[in-house]
Amino acid sequence: MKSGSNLEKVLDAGHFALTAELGPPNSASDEEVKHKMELLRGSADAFNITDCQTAVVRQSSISAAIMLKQGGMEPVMQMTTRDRNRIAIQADILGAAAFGIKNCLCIAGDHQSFSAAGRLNGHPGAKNVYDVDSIQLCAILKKMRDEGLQEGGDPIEEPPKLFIGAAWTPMGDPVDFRVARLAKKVAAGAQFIQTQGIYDVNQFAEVMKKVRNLGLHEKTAILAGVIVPKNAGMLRYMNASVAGVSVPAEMIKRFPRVKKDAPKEEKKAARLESQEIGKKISVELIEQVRDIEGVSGVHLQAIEWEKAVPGIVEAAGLLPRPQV
Amino acid sequence: MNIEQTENTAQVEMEICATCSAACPVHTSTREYVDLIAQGKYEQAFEKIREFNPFPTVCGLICHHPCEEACRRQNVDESVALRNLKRFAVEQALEYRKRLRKKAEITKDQTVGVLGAGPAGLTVASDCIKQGYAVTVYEALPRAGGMLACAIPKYRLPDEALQADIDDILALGIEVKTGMRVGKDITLDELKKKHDALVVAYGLSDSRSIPIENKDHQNVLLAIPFLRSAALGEPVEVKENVIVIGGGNVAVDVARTAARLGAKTVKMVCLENEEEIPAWDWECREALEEGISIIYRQGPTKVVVEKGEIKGLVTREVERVFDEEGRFSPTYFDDRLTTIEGQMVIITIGQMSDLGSLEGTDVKQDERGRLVFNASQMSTSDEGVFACGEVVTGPGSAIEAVASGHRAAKAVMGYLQTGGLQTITDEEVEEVGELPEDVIENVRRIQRLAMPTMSPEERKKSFAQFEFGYDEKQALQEARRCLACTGGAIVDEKKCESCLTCLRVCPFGVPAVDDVAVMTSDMCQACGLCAVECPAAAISIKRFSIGDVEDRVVALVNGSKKPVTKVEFICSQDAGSGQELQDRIEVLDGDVIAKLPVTCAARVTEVDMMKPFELGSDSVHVQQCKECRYRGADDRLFKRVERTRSILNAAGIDGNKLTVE
Amino acid sequence: MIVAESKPLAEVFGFIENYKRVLVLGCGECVTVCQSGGEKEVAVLAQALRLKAKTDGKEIEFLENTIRRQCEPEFVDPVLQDISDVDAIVSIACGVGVNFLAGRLGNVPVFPGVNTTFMGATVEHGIWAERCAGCGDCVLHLTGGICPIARCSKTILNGPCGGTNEGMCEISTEDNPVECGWALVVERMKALGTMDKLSEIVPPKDWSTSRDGGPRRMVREDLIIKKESPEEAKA
Repeated sequence: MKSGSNLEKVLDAGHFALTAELGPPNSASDEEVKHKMELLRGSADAFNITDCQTAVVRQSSISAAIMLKQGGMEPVMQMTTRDRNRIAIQADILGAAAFGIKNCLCIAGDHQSFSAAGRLNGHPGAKNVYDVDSIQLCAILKKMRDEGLQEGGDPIEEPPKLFIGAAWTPMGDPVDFRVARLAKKVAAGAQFIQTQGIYDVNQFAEVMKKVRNLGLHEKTAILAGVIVPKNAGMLRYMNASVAGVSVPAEMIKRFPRVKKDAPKEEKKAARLESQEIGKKISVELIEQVRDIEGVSGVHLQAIEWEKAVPGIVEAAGLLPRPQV
Repeated sequence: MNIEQTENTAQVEMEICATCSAACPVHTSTREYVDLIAQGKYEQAFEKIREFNPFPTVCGLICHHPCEEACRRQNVDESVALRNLKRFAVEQALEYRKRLRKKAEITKDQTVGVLGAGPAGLTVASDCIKQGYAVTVYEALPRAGGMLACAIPKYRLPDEALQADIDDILALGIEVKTGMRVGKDITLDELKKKHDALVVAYGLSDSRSIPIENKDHQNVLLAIPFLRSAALGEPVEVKENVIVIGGGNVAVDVARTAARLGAKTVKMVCLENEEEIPAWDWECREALEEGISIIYRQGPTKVVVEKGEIKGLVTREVERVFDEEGRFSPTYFDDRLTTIEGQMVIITIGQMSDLGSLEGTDVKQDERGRLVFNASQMSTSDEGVFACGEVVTGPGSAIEAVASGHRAAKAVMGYLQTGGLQTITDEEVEEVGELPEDVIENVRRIQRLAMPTMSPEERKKSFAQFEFGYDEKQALQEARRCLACTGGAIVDEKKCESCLTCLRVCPFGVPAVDDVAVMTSDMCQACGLCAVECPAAAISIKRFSIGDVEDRVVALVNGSKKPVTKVEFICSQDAGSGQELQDRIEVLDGDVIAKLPVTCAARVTEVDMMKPFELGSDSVHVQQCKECRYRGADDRLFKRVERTRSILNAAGIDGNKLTVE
Repeated sequence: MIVAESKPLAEVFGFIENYKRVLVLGCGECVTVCQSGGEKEVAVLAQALRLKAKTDGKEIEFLENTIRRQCEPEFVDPVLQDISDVDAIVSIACGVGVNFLAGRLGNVPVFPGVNTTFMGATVEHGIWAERCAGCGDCVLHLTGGICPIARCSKTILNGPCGGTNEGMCEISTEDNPVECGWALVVERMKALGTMDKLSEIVPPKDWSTSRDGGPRRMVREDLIIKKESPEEAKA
């Protein structure tokens, strides 16, 4: 037990863990975060706050994490290396720890060119930092926590208590290196892993075999990522454009098809039906990945649809969450 | 040889010579004159031909064209018809050459006497007078020209043709005294007093005979007197069946002349077989076409005379002509005899010089009756008396006589300047190498254009010229078959950055790039693509001057009386007339169009395409030929046009005003 | 080589449109090879500028010259001695050349005619790609020769990130395809049989040798030629 965070305790106790995601707003107000907090309260062991996901400016992950902590919910702070150098990163870790934030997901972060997608202007011309990568970041956190030293070697008065996490894309290109890279993350200090969204469970199960062969599932807690699909279009987009995500065709077929020129009521009905199907699929995925040996939990992401989370979790039989 | 150098052309380490030039006894700038013809610059081509050869008309008709035998095009399909092209250029310059006639300025006190007005003698005279020495030529016959006038039949070399060359030479101011025989009308001593140097250029004026029975019969003729009479228009009687003894070119001339004079059959009898026969193959072929028969491997033994008339010629079969060392040493089967029917025999087995006029002088002969001669100094045994031409070289062609004349002229003038004898060395020429296989593969095959010729039946009837010559379209087409050997890419090593562009764009795989690009002249086809693509402007093409297209655009547009509205660059590969090859202004539907022919449209650069707009044109067009012979050239051109269009647009000019087809 | 790309004509013209006599100066090395700044391109740019000047009704004389390298005093100074009546220079050398010229010219402004982009190699004739970022502390021995700084969009040293898609970087588009540098590294290390090296964690990089450490210099004490006055030399 390194940090004593709720997530760490749940996992340590051998429960099937559950994390969910909370997306911070594009706003200077705390209202939205507080609203989402209430939607999600009690439905997971810890809640990820994304850190300028796809490089789009949002309220800082750390500030939202503080709001959660003060509101009695456990946050998972996300830290990308895209926007901060090692100095700022370590300062932010110390600051977050001072507020009692323990869980930290270390990721490199999407390239800033993604911020200009769709109708957004974003900041594709921003200078990116990437002073360190995600693996080096795990090691920095570990060094701070276990050795009480900054990356540069200077001692820290009061070391932070951290539960270190990393992301993993099990089916990403080049596929035969992905497990080895997972091993690197673990060696660097990653205690829990949240994977990219999984839809092809069989494929994932194959990869998990290799993970088990290396014994990595015992060294780190793997939480399989489940992204709640709202409709077929979202699945198709992810299948085509998101690296490492492949969606079986049968899954897409489950969604209703509606013509472009269909009447409004029909479209609305289809939309609602899709949502239901999406939730159902999420439940099925949770149950399926739970059956895979080596999977210690699920990381549930309902993007800008936080209110769907409790229902899914309940239907998957994961409520109430264990008290540890 | 002449190579056009502009200030940007790199130093050429050694003058590598095209095989045609190297093979020519006077190293005519063959590739250059062919290129000039291809550009429609016929008069310049004529001047280029005459640079080293005062007998361009003669050679264009009768030269045995060693250049063609050496032409590298034969490795692709057939050699280029270089002689036919020479003739074409000469024919285009008939009036032009007259305007060029100018008396040479005499600047020296010393004078030169030339004995013999054949091609060798007239060449010496021409060279010496151009350097300022007064020259007098003494000729025994009533007209100048030597063998050219008196032995070459008129159907091969018409009078007007020979005269055109002689008139130009004499227009320099050379004094010719015809009907003057040395020894009879003037002595050698008198000549030595009159002139500071003499040149014996007698030629081989006499025919050799053979010691066979009845050789002195009145109807046993010798070749030269026979041909001379025919040439001078004297009446010559020819019997029904004529036998010509001999296998050389003169024998063929004799046979064909006899046929034209009315012989019903003419049979040539020679020692050699078909492969060995000394006459050129094309001459034999023409003779055979005209119905003359050639009897090989027979040696004459006696003329059969019955009742005072010739009945025929007895011959014995030849065993072999050359011995183990390749020397002429025929052996016979004396028991295998044949009799060939005929009423007239003409002996054409060789010529010899008539040196009787030199008996008793210091110009000595050896024990075999040949002039004592130092070939490297061109000098006889008498100081101040030189010699040249067939009298010292033995039988040779007209161009070889010209070459000999040039050497003698150098020797004479060296002697006159220094008072001593000079060693005349032959120009060292390094020849371009063999055409490599992979280049051959990439050269488009184009059939050689045959010379339009009179039918053999028609030919036999008269001494009319039987080869008609090329018309303009044919000449241009044939001239474009030339591979432009040694006219290709030169790299300025100071500028070359080994960027490899030339290597990548060359259709023939010529460049090798190490420290700098190296262009192997054996391979380069002078297409010019590398030069326009080179980003360092480090490549020039010998046969084009630097910036030629751009300069011509400026000259043509600025020189036009009416403002030019359109400039067209037109590939010259399909041009059928000299008119199409000129830079010119044409007016069409209100457009004043400046037309510039270019050798390969892909040589037109971005700057060439932009310049006309700067000079005030509204539009520019690049016209390709129907099928470019350079692989990849059209792709490069299209991409360059696209790029230039976007530059034009950026400069505020509508890019669509630049078109390409 | 250093790769540079021509600036838009309108932009370059904007720099010099109010001058009267402009020298377009090319360089015989890298920019010649990448077809942006050699003698040929000097001619093309000068002609394009002439056309633009004509269209815009400006009377400007454009001179053309190219020297071996614009980053050496011995090549640059002779040109500069000769330009007493030039009132502006457009240099189509790489940025180094422009800087160098500007440093040696007093009151004649120097304008860049190209955008210097990267240090790269030829992919094929007409296509060049970035290969080196000049980080000053080469790590190519760790990655089989494929540079994670120059060829990974995120300069990740323990790659690849999760964004690789069929061997292409997540920022790849049809117009601008970018290979995933790390996919290439993995492939290469596989071929070399050194995949196990990739399991070693590469620690954070010392970026001070890169531009992050400030403008850099290289000094070879052994090569510096002693400057002596003639008196000192005799002594």
